Amino acid sequence: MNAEPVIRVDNLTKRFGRQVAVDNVSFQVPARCVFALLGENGAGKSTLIKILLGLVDPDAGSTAILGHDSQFNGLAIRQAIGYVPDSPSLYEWMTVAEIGWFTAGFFPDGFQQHYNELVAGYGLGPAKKLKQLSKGMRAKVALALALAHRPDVLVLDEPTSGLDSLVRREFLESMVDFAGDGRTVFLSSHQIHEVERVADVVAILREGRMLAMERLDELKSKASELIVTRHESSIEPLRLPGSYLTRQVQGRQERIVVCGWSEDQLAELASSDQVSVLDTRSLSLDEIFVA
Amino acid sequence: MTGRMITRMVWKDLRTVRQLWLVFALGTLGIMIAYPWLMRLGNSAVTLNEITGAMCVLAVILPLVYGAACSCVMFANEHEERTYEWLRALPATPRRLLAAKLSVSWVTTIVMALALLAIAVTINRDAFLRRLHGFTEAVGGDEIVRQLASIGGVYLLAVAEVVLVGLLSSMLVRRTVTAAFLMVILLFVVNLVALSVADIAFSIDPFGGSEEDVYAFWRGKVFVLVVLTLLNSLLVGRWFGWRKSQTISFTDRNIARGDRVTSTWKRHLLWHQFRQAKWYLVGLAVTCTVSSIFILQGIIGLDITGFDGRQIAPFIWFFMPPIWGALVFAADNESYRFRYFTQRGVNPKAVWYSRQLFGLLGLLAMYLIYCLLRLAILDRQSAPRFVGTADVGTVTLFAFNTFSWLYPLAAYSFGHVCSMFLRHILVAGFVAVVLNGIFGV
Repeated sequence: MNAEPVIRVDNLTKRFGRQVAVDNVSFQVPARCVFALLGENGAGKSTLIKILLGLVDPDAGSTAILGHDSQFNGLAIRQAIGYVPDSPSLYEWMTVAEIGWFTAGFFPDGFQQHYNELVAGYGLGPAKKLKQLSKGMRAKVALALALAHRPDVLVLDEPTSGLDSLVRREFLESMVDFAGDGRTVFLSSHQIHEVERVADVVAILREGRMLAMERLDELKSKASELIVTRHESSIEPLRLPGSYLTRQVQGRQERIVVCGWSEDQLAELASSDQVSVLDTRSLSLDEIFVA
Repeated sequence: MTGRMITRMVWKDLRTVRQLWLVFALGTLGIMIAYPWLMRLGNSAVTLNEITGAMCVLAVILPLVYGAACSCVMFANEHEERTYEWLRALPATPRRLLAAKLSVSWVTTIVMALALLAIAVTINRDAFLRRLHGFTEAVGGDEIVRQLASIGGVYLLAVAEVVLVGLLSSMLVRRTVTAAFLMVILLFVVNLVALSVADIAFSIDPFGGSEEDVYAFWRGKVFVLVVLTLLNSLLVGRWFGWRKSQTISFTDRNIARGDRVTSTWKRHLLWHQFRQAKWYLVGLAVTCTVSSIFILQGIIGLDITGFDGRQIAPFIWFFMPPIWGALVFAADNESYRFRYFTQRGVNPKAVWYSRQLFGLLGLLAMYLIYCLLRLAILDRQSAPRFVGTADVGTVTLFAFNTFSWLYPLAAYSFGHVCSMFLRHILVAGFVAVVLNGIFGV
């Protein structure tokens, strides 16, 4: 996290009419990691990515990728990074080879050769028309197009939506390989359990606002679920020594999701005269997200 | 890489309209072949000459319909096929995209028309040669060449018209069919405007049908086509979600990095303004050239076009200074650059002066050159018309002062004020023209 950030977002706000799509969001993406931007549909992920690429103007704040300001230098950004849009619609009438040849015109030499190697690696026939390919195969073509100029940063907007689980797994594992080569992956998704396997750093976006951004292992170690069973005699509401994310009461039992509680706070709760039994359980990213 | 990028975009667009091209070419060919038979079916007295003429007309008219259809498809189709997002994500500039789409529409239309015309001539070559021979004998070879050149020129303009209007419609709406409907309406409007321009400048009789009236109409159309080209160039940026600032300059790079203003890059204010204004300068030069064809004719000493630009010049030169003034702060308003510079320590006066260098001085230089040339080349050849009791020298001096700096300065000021206070460029331009009309003139 101490290295120069590859992506920088400062106080970013974007409105569409009265709807606030992105609300004062700030974060930085460190180099050489898989960064996952999580959020449900309509959380503002795609808008944020479009602003990053210079395709949409922000209302306030600024963003930069590899030191290029998105608002002023979208062209340089699009030349330097690889981008896979949400459900990419490529020219259906082109063959796999033709789309590579066409796209190579926009990038420096070497694109075509690397593209051919990538599609061969993915097992795609160069003479096949894109309309004859399955959704998964098209996603691989889009990925090959994004990777062919050997970008330092790969930006993927919901890359696995609509793909079957096998292709999803393959796709996401290739992201880990990519980051393993010392490059950075920025991906947005609402499929939390998929991302959990590959992400190093996660950020959670809800209704345009950034709720959390942390290394995945740290986030998971901080969040835990407490299952508290109260004494039968205790009738007052349970007093908690810290704040919580969610709380569900079922008779004498309460399920509380907390984040960032210290050992002392847990010990204080366990020693409370209201509490009979206290169990703790670590949470999956999906559960943290829902909480 | 630029050439390669355009080549591949041209290839892509050619492939996209391949079916349309083939259908139109083969369809027109079929109609051309069936036409003599159909003509004879309806009227047994039809001559070979009439058939040849009709086939040649079909060969040039139907490609125009193709040109219109092809240009309507160009941008709207990207939306319909949902390839727009992907195209936008590629590192391409909108002007290259427009150049590719424009050349594909224009060139394929011309090629189709030439090929069909060649086929029509080849099929009826004996009748065609007899007809040509008859014309040559009647009016002379030079006249035939002049007429052919004139028809060719008018045809190229007609193709340019449908292509430019088609592309404009295609950018304005997202559906091809809607774009086609819009194009028909716009074609009507364009011709109406061209007719009005020709009427104001040349006092033509729209239904006169004389050669002079027709030429005046096409001259009006040249003016409208220049405006359409500029409009297309501006709109493609909007269509592409593009801002001028994305072509990065030294100053923009510093802005992007959030640098503090230093004396080193204060000097780049002028360069920055030049980059900001360069397309406006090109527009100004094109407008001046179009409105001053008579100057070129005066310099060369030949009346090539038979066009006296003095008649249309006042119309164009009335609009130019207020619109030019309204453009001065357009780019600054778009990206808050003026505020950026001033908030970072640049003296607002320095920014303001840098904007005037290309705005006001550019305009005044153009007017001065125009007035000097007019004075030196043309007006010395004929006596002034309205001298009254004043001597010729006083009238000339008054006219020179008025048109070389007084009028442009006043009209520019209206535009300039609008440019500072009205953020929307079209609104600023419109208000400036109205203000200039009420107070300036």
